[in-house]
Amino acid sequence: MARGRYAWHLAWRGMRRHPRTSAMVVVVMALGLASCMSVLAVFHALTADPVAGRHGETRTVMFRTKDEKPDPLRAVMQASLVQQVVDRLQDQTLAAVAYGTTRVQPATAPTDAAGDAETAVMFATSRIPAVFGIELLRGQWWTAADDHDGSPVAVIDVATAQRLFGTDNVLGKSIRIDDKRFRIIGVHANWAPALKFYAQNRKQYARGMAQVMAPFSAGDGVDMQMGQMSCPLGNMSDAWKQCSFSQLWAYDLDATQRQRLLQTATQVAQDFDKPPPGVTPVVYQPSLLTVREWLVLQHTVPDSVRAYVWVALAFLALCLLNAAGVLAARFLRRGAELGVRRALGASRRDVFFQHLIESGSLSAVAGAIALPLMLGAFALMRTQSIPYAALIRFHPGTFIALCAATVLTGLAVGVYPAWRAAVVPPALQVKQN
Amino acid sequence: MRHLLAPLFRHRLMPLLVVLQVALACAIACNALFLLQQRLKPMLVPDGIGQPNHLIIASNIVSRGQPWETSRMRDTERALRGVPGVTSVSVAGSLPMVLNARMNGRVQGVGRDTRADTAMYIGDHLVKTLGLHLVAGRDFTAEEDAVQNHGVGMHQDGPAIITQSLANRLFPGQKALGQTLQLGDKDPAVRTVVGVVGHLMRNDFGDGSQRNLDNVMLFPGIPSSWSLPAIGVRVAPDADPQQVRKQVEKVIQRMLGDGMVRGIDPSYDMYGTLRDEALAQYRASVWLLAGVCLIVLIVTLAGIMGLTAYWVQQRTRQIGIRRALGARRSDILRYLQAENLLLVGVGTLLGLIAAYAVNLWLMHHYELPRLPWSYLPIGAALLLVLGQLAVLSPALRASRVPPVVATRSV
Repeated sequence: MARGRYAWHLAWRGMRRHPRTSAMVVVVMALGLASCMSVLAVFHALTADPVAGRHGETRTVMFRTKDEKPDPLRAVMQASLVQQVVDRLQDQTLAAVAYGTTRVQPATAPTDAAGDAETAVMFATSRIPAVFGIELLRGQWWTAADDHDGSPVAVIDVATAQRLFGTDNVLGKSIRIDDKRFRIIGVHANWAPALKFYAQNRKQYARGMAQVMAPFSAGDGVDMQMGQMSCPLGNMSDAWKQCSFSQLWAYDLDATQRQRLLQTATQVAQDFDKPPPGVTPVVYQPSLLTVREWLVLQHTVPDSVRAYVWVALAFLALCLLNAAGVLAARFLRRGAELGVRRALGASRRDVFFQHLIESGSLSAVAGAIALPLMLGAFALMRTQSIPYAALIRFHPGTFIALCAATVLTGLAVGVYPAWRAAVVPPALQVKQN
Repeated sequence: MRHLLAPLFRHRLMPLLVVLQVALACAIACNALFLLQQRLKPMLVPDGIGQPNHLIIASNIVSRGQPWETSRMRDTERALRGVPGVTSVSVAGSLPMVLNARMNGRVQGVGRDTRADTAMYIGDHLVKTLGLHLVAGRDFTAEEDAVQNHGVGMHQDGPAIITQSLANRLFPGQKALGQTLQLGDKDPAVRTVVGVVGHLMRNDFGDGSQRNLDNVMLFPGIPSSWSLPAIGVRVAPDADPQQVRKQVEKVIQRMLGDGMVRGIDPSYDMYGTLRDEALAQYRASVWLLAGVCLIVLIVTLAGIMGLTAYWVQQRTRQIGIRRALGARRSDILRYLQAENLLLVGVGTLLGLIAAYAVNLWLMHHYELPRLPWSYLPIGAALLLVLGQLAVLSPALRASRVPPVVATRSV
């Protein structure tokens, strides 16, 4: 105990004796830690599994033709095509999904009232809650019969219910999606995957989860702003059905189910795309993409961010090397007095720990400084117009990672110089001076 | 040379640390500078637009239910032309710096293999409205601009105006005027080049890594079956652009307001403002990378200084002996400088190899272009100068070591 206290005392004296190099080591390590952790946090936010915690794999179907390169646009198809696939596979956890943003108001509001058109709306077939794992707070989901009839019913999230009606007890009330009336039959919990993965569109980082959901076939005549579709903008009515804006999403299929899904998709696509007589038909060979693969195809993680990760890691390495060098120089400079201490009976362990404590405390201070630096970097990034700025958040996990990184860097920086200091041969040092 | 090398091998730790630091710094600096240049590119490429603050761009004019009728767009255009201070109006499928509607295609000369990824601006009076500079050929005629396009007008015969860089790429060493183009060899539609403009920037610059930011074609006529047009309005040099902008907003609202999707408001901006906004994200990363480079260099400078200071101090006695044996101050100074040059040189060499290897790896895995050779000498020179700066103060201190030190404590 007393020995430990003495080691702390010596380490403290050591730091105080070289205030300039101490400050430099701290600053350099803090800079390295802060920059590296900030970039890693951004990278993590972009790569994290958006639907973490579900045991099964969520997949989408890409209707590519034979020998065609993977193209995310091929996953977004005509409404009637995906509808047919869903209809033929009644027993699979599979849904057709079309999404966009439009104006949603209580049905009682005057039709010409100004309102923002930014409510996220999703039209989907009835198995959507199982596919995306969306929990219902009250009421019920629409059924396959509603799908068939195109019943104008809707499930909205709590926040939208509060916004529109000031309460979450909204069952039976009516809303207007664009100009069409829908009756609310359910309220879902704020379904917020880390990334709106299904609505990714080449680095667009769509925000706002599906706030309002309604049966796929009920979307007829609703004007929506759709990001990912072959026509620039439009509605779900017949004139636009030739435009591609619908996707298939499936959850947790086993190998035979996947096989059947692909077979059905091939058949439907083949029938759908019948060429005029005399022209050789295109051969379809659909494939399944997991959320991960889908995001990779969409370039959700920009290549520049990957490059930044390497730059940041290299920068941290440089900072550590720098700090280790400065500490080694400082410790070795004490050769003479260490020789005296060793000659007077201090063990190698004592000397080693004394120096490890010294470097460890410096890195702890650096970690403490790195935290506000990192928060500052986040704040700075959010003020810049970076498309994924909204994803950058400070998690407890980030803090834990920072602590771990601090400890590791402290060890990396301290161990070698401390060992070098500990192996100073006592006699030689005493003699030399 | 031997007296330079021997001490390095006797105390390996300090020189090794210096070499490693320099190598890492060099690798980081080269790659960061390169990324920086990539981000700078969209800002540095000339966009070809004349008088950016006298060009109003109206965009996000979203039609409701069905695409805009061409006749309606023509009426709107006529009404806009009547606004005092307006010299020219274009109705186009998309315009530069309008990021929410883009038309791209891979174009090739008819009967040629070279394809170029190209952005298309389809609209009338584009050259005049955008203030483009024709370097060869002519502008579209009034008849050509009055064409009724089928669909947006991408796949039909007609004239085209292309940029100089696209001309150079498709028809190297030849005159582009009179040549014919098509969008892929399966498209039967053929476009004849009637004019070449100096520059015009495309409206998708991605990561900024594209080499063909200046590959653009112009087609005449108003795109039909298009629900997301952009309207460009050129303001006379002596008119007040803000005043005209308000008028333009009123006219468009009056002419098209009842056909727009409610809740989505069109935006009316000066081209210069749009450009600043579109490039903001590049500016942010330029600052970030410039900051990284600067910090890397400062950290390296401090690191080399600290290590050299220690190492010089360690050798105080030897330096004293050398001074006692007749070495002048300048000899000691030059000796330490040469030593630093050697260490930093070795580190830089390693760093350059690492920089190149990292770039090759990045290029292989991601859409990043090759590091140009010209970056390597720049990075090397930077670090060598830095090394000399770092060694200056410790070396000067060492050169002032009096010879008498040699006689002490031996």
